[in-house]
Amino acid sequence: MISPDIREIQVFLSLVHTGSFSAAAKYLGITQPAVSAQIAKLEQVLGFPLFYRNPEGTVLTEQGKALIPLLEEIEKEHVAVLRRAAYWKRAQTKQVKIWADGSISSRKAHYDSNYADSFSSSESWKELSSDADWLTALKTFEVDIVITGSFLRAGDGQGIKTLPLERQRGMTVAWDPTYYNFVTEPFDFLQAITSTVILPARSMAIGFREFLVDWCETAYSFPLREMIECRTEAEAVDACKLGLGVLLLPGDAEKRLALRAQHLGCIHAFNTVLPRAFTFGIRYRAEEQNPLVLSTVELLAKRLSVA
Amino acid sequence: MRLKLRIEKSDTSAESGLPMDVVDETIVPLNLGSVDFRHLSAFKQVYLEKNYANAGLNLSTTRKSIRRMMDNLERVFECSLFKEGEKGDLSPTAFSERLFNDLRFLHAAQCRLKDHIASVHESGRILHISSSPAVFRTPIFRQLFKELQSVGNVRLSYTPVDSEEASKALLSGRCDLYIGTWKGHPKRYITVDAGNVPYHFFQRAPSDRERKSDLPKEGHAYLVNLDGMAPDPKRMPDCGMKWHSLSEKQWMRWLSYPEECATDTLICAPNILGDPSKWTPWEALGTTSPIQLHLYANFLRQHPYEFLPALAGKIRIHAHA
Repeated sequence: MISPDIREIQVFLSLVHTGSFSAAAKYLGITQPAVSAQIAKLEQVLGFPLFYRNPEGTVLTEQGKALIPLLEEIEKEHVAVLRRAAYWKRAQTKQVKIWADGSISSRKAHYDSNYADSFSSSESWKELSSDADWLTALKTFEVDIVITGSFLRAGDGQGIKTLPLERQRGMTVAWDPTYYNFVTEPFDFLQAITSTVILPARSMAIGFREFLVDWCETAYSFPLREMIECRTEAEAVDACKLGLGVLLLPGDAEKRLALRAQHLGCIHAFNTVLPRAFTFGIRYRAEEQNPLVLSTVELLAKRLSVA
Repeated sequence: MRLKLRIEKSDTSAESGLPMDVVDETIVPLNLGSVDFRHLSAFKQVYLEKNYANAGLNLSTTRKSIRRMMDNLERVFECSLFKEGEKGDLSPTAFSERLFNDLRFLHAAQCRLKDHIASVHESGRILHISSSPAVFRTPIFRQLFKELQSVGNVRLSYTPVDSEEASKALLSGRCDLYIGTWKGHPKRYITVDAGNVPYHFFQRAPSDRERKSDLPKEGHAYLVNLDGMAPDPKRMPDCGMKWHSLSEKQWMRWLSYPEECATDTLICAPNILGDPSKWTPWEALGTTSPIQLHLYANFLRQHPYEFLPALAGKIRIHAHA
């Protein structure tokens, strides 16, 4: 029996997830007849029908349904093989792949100008996208080092090691006084969360959003209804300045983002309740054996701590 | 090593005014999408055989093709995979050793899929047979269905589908085989003869009345449609009455409620079990009918069941028997 090829498997899984031939074609960036041909080819290879075709969409046959976990596993393993191959290639050519969130820029600029030539590897830097699942990316060898923040140790463990660069307490609440007239002494957090809240991207502070949702429900019996998640901190500040909502950031962001200088009302809340809640650090695989990655982590830790 | 930095503006940074991506220009992303299972299985064979020609032999392909695939892999990974000795023997590089080791999990997943497919094939795939309810009621369809049930590795299932919907049902996968008077376009469907449905004469007569040995000359005569088709009226026996078309639905009703039908009514319909005291089949009186309607078995030309042509052959044999 000939086994199905990866392209057919990818088309099948896209069709399963989108539910229609045209949507799958759009998702894959190919034509609808090409999707139909790939599925027909896959059905021929397997020897049984996978879908019932209806004008309303496609419906999986029982045998098609049973195949989903098996094909998903194959696709996952295929990606893993290729990512590991890319990792081995990086190791051979002495390259290290680094993802860092937007807040790293000022520190990086500092050490770039002073210490760049002391690395024994060549680094590939990329800004962490807002929807990046860096935990999975690290585990699957897509990236070697991730520099970002986490809240209340979210993402720690699970085969990932963290080298903390900075630990900050509590969270920063910022607002535009033109739109919100909050009393700061004493500050009532409930008045802030009744408005729309603006949060940083999940990849910049993993665990922060989950904590907030849980905290508001448990402590205030008030479910967070409206949230705006911004891709970068600057975007979040801009949204706050436009009066779109109240900005909530993990740790002490007041100085870093110069919030007061931008004429925003600002308070550092929950300092006592949440000591060392926000960790900004370097993350890498716990079982990492590539000496280049390990030495790069050490060097980065030194440079970024100095900065 | 000195860093060569190149500034690239990403969409995110451009909009936000935040720091831009810094990418080392020496790192070129791998075009991993061009690596498919053919390449990986060829690599595995070369690794095991340590020889391009033998690997080609195992995969039923040429040495040249294997060599081309290895070159492609080397280009994608930007790493040498094998070192060729003086006598043409190959020794894997460190990268190859790692790649082969990493392939274990993918290979295991592929084996699980193969086992699953084999078990589906062995335990029998479900063959959805469809016909209109009228065809289903004919003895020839039931006999055919019974015979197909004895075919190994197939589990039969019946779904009623009207003949107008036959094409749609086959295309959508609701049924794999459609049996009826409908005949699909030869470009898209394979159609085989599934036998003839013999038509019989039934006379509506009270049991106490003396039956005639000839066809009645008075009253009404009806010809029952099957899937909207009826035998050629020219072949109908001359009984002095005009043959009218009768829907199968109405015929079913008259079978259940004979009193709604006038006595002496003559019906020409596919053979069916009725109450002989209300509906007298003419065979009982020694008259056989030469009237028949063809049944066809249709399936998609590109249907994934590889055994369908063989099954169609079996249907053809049944039809001729």
